[in-house]
Amino acid sequence: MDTHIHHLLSRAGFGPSWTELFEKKPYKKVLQEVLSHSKTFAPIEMEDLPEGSGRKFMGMSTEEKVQMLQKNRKSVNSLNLLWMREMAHSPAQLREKMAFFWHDHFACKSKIAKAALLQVNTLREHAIGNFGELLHAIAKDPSMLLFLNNQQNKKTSPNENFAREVCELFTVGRGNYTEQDVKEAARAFTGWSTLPNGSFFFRKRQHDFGKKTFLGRRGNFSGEDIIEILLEEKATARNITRKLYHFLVSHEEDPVQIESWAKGFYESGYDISTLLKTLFESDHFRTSQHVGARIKSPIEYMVGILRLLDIDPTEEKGLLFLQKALGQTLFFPPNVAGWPEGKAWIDGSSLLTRLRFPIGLGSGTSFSFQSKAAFAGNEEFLSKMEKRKGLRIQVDWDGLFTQLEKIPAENRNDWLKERILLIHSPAKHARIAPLTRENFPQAMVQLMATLEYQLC
Amino acid sequence: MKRRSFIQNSLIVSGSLWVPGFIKKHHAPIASQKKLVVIQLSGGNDGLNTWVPHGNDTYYALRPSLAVSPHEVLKLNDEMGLNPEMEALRSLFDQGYLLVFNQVGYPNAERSHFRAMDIWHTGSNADEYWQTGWLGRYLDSACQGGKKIHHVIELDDSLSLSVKGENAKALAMQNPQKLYRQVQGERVQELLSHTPSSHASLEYMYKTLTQTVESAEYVHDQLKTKRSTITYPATAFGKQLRTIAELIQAGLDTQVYYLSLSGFDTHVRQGPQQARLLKQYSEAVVAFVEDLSDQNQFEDTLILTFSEFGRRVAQNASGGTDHGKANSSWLIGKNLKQTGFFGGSPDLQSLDEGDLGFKTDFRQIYASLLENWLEVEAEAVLKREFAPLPIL
Repeated sequence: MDTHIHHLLSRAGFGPSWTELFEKKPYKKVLQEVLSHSKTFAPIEMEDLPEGSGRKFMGMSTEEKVQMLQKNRKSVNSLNLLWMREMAHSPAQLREKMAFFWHDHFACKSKIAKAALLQVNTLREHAIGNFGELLHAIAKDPSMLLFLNNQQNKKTSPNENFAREVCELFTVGRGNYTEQDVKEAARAFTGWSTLPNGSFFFRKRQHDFGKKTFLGRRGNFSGEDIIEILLEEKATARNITRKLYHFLVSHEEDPVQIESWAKGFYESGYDISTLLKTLFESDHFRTSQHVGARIKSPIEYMVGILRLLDIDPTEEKGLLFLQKALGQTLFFPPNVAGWPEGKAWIDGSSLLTRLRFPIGLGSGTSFSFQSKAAFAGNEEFLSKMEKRKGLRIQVDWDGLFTQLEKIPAENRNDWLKERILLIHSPAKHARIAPLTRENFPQAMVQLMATLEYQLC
Repeated sequence: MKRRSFIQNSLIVSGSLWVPGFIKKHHAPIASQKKLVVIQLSGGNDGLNTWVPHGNDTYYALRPSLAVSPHEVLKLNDEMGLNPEMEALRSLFDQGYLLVFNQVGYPNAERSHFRAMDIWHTGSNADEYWQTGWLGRYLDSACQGGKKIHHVIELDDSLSLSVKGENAKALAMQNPQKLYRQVQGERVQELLSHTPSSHASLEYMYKTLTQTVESAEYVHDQLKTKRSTITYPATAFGKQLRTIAELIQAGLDTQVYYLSLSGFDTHVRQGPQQARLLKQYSEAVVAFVEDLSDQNQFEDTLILTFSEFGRRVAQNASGGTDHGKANSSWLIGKNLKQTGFFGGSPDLQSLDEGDLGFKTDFRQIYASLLENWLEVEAEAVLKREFAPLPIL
């Protein structure tokens, strides 16, 4: 695996798996596999999820509601770990990586497990398909409608929250619509609601069927019409491409390149795979200044380690606290604008935590840390939560080492370094040679508990 | 960088090589010895059962079983009183060390914990999503002027958004010894011996790590000499305030301390839960003020207490209260220009969807603290103009 392949696997997925470190394939071939492995889609499945909304919920006492919410919290936590497992170990790396991108783009908090599951599967299903279809699907997603208060959007008393975010964050972006456009769009989305069983429901009697003027067009627009009009706007293609550029290429925008890719994206009718293929095939993507240019988000950092060291996250509840301590919890973006990026992830305490995690993996000892107390919840819940969190994961170092044996002991350290780090800084410590079964975990800690490892 | 060269560098900086633009011209960067302690009550403290409007019939009508009864309330004047669990705080009020704002908020208030807390942390409007905190931006400017990241310290293992700036983020520490042990670890020391490749993100991370190590060492070394003799309540919150008092007494070059007390989300059986927390709060704060007074530090220290939102005026069916809007915030300090209740008692007649409306924008309080206490230009930090209040 050379540097360009490492770069590709870090952006089009969550970095190389242990096995991929040993593969020797040309870039073109790897890219072809990246695309083809993501063609299939299988929903994440969970059984016996608790009820969480609807009439039954409305009739409950506050205590019962608190209990129900706690049950849901547990289930959302399980779902979180299940999705992490898909991210880490699914062959459909590009699909999971893009679903993660859309989870940030269509930022939405989900407290109800059934709705969270529905949403994540919608994102995963359409992740590399057609953006228009994804947008239509997410606009009718129960979690999203609830999160953006569209239940309250009625003909007699419109609520603009949903319509505003559709324009500002999901499609054309600020500066490409007026306040009046938001008001008119909100009218078109009146009556878009959900049923207690979690499906979309159009409440006809609350819908405003009147004429609307939106982005210069006039007609008896429905919510679907508004979305189609937004897709007709080139600004939508530009906005999505720009955001994707940050996620896949660099935080430093190249406006000319973005414009060119946005044009292609628009002309393809918003085919996400076409855009991704063009992007990954380009010389621009592989320019050396883009290799290792991004700071891994906490999820990219954690999932990258799970993938590389072949760790199953589903039984490791401590990973949820690690997400929290590092500042990124799945299904829990800070607000509708999604997560910050780059330098925002790094401060003294988050950096020390990122350095300590691999040390715990290397020594097999418990890694303890404290995350912030939750705002919500009763005293009992908080006191349970406030207890020091321990995370102890046993890595199968022996199993990993077996594959490494074919590399001469003297070269193993350098060999690993070239494949695990994208950026190298001269280090003063003595390199570990020969690298043996015994000092292998220690050598890995030396590579992973570094600042260079935070880059992708 | 080793400790010695770090201290030398600090000396050069404090020798006023240059005065950054945001600091008012007539003040040298080190002139202000003033300390600000910010206490966050997480979960939405019920302000109406903290500072109790015992003279108000509406209060008793809307809270038939949850109101603090007239014979229990600690009456401060004809209108307002204190929750009986906060007995300790009463002496501070009586000495004129307290200023309470009853209706603090902002337009289009948010009822979500996270969103509301974000707004308080960043100082944004309700429809804006900012990624830096108000004290973080203050720290950004201070660091540009040569200050170190421990200019702002949060007593926790991780940082709140409020103290994260664009380029500088505050020092997080639960206690100085623990952080010191962490940064003295073999791995961290080894990394500091690396020469980072020329790479913007990498340089930023090396800078952050170096600053954290330097500040952790500095704080640890300063603290060696000072131990507080006052007895604090044996709670995590009490210990944190004790650590802050010790750091202040040690003459630490830190101007802002930030800490939180959680558990105020009282939807169910609010009475005993809030009582415990308020007692914890007031006993620790009173010990802290006593400690500072003994060391002649109280007049240079100001304490702001806030919570992300207030709670519904009416109680719910579970003996608790649900999320509301405006809330009380209060300042504790020795030389306040106004004391008692800012703008009188809360207006329970004209409610906003069953909630208190706001009369004081929280950013006016921030602006007052920035301009008249920390002595920086508030507008540069808050990104828009808010008129400071005549309180400091």
